[in-house]
Amino acid sequence: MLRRFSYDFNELSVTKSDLEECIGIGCDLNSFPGQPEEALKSAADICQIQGGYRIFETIGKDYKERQLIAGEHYLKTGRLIFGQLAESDGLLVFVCTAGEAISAYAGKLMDKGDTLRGYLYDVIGSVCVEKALDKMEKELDAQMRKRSLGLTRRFSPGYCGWDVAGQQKLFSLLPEGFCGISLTSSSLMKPIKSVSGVMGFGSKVVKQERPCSICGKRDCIYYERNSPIKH
Amino acid sequence: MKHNEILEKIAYCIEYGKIDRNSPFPPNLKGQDGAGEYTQMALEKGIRADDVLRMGLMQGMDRVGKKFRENKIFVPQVLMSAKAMNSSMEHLMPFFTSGEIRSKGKFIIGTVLGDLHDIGKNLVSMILKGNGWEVIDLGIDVSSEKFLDALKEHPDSVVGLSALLTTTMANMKETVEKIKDQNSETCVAIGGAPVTREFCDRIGADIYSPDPQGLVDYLNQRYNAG
Ligand code: B12
Repeated sequence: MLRRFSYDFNELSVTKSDLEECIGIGCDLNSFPGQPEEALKSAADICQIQGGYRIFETIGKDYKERQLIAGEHYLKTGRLIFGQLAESDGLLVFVCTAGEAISAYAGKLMDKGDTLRGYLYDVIGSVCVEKALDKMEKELDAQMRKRSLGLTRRFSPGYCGWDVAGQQKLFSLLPEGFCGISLTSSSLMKPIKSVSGVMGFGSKVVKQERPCSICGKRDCIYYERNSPIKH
Repeated sequence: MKHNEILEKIAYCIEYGKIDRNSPFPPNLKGQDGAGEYTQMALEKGIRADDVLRMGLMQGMDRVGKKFRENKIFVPQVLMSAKAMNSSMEHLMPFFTSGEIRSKGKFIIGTVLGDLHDIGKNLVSMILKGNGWEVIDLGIDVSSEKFLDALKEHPDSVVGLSALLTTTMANMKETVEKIKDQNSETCVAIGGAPVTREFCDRIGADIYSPDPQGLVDYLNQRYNAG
């Protein structure tokens, strides 16, 4: 089953402190009065937030190779994510984007030397995909609860030991150009401000903490910097 | 104002991103002269352009690079400092053209093939420029061939490669190999979120740094240009 959604920028309530958090822990934008406020106001007309997901009600598991089997496709998510999805009966494969326009606008400003404003729009693009996914997850949590099912957290290629090249497999589970997002041969999504991933669900699923504590990858930037970006 | 006071003013304005009198940032310096005015003043007072560059501009940018590395400031502040540096640089341009002052060398930079990220690369460019390097920016999605062509045009340059995903980072390997094949003496720096020192050693690049200042320090040491 395929579902699509789109959100208005204003329903995501992106704040100045969201931007500060994304830029870096300890960042204070108060030294640029008016700038983040102005960018947040006009970003509403620029961001085109849309996403969607495909639900596989049942999935198979290849315990030997630690792969998830969705339809006729195998997802090699790595040991950690496979473990996190062990209790899941079904799988939800999602993508979400803030659209092309926000990056184009940011780029245009930067090119003409308005670097700070350009950068702020760029950060807004990143933050708004994350916030859209938070909203999607919350809505899905509620839907699943109605069916007495639990939902795992989100897991993306490029995180927790899942190779970014896994994007190719993930995208093969979705229709081409789904939600206006395409994948290059180097596994980069276009528009840039896009995130992909999976979530598991099932009657025995309980949402768990991020698996950082059991992951040996201490050089993961997510782990090290405790980044607020959660994809 | 004494000469060294003017130079310190320039460094200060660059450190805090005060471009010129009209710039409203940072709010506590509103209405005051900025890097542009102080640079002009320095030259009018007869301070040598080379001293303005080294003891004003580069001093300021060095502080910026260090504070950024220590997470005391963030990208927005670096961007404003780079603008202040540009406004100072405009006054120094004629002296570069006349040969009275010289850059430390040329640095070719680009984001590797298949990758479209540019903010990290741009920050490296800005901080290098502020440390006296002439930067040739090839942009994003740059093929090995483009790097080689640029090297043919500017043979003694250092090369910097940037990538943000492990999949595009893989393209660094080929580019480094081709550059080293053409001239094993060419110094190649690599960076970007997924890059590690171990990867750098494995592909035969000369230096990996998680931040621009690490690169500056390395280049200063290697070329004895501190
Ligand atoms: C914001 C962000 C996003 C945003 C926006 C991305 C964008 N490019 O605009 C969003 C939310 C959209 C996103 C999406 C994704 N992201 Co992301 N993202 C980040 C995050 C948190 C910050 C990136 C950033 O803007 N940094 C700020 C800039 C200034 O830093 P920088 O580019 O690294 O550059 C600095 C240094 O690296 C260095 N440097 C850079 N180049 C060079 C060159 C030289 C020569 C030198 C010396 C130094 C140097 O200097 C710069 C200044 O300090 C990073 C994690 C992190 N903290 O870095 C993950 C990160 C880049 N993302 C990652 C991943 C996996 C993804 C996705 C693939 C996830 C997914 N499956 O959806 C997608 C891919 C998007 C796409 N289009 O294909 C991984 C990539 C690692 C990997 N495994 O390959 C990272 C590293 C997180 C992690 N897992 O640790 N992402």
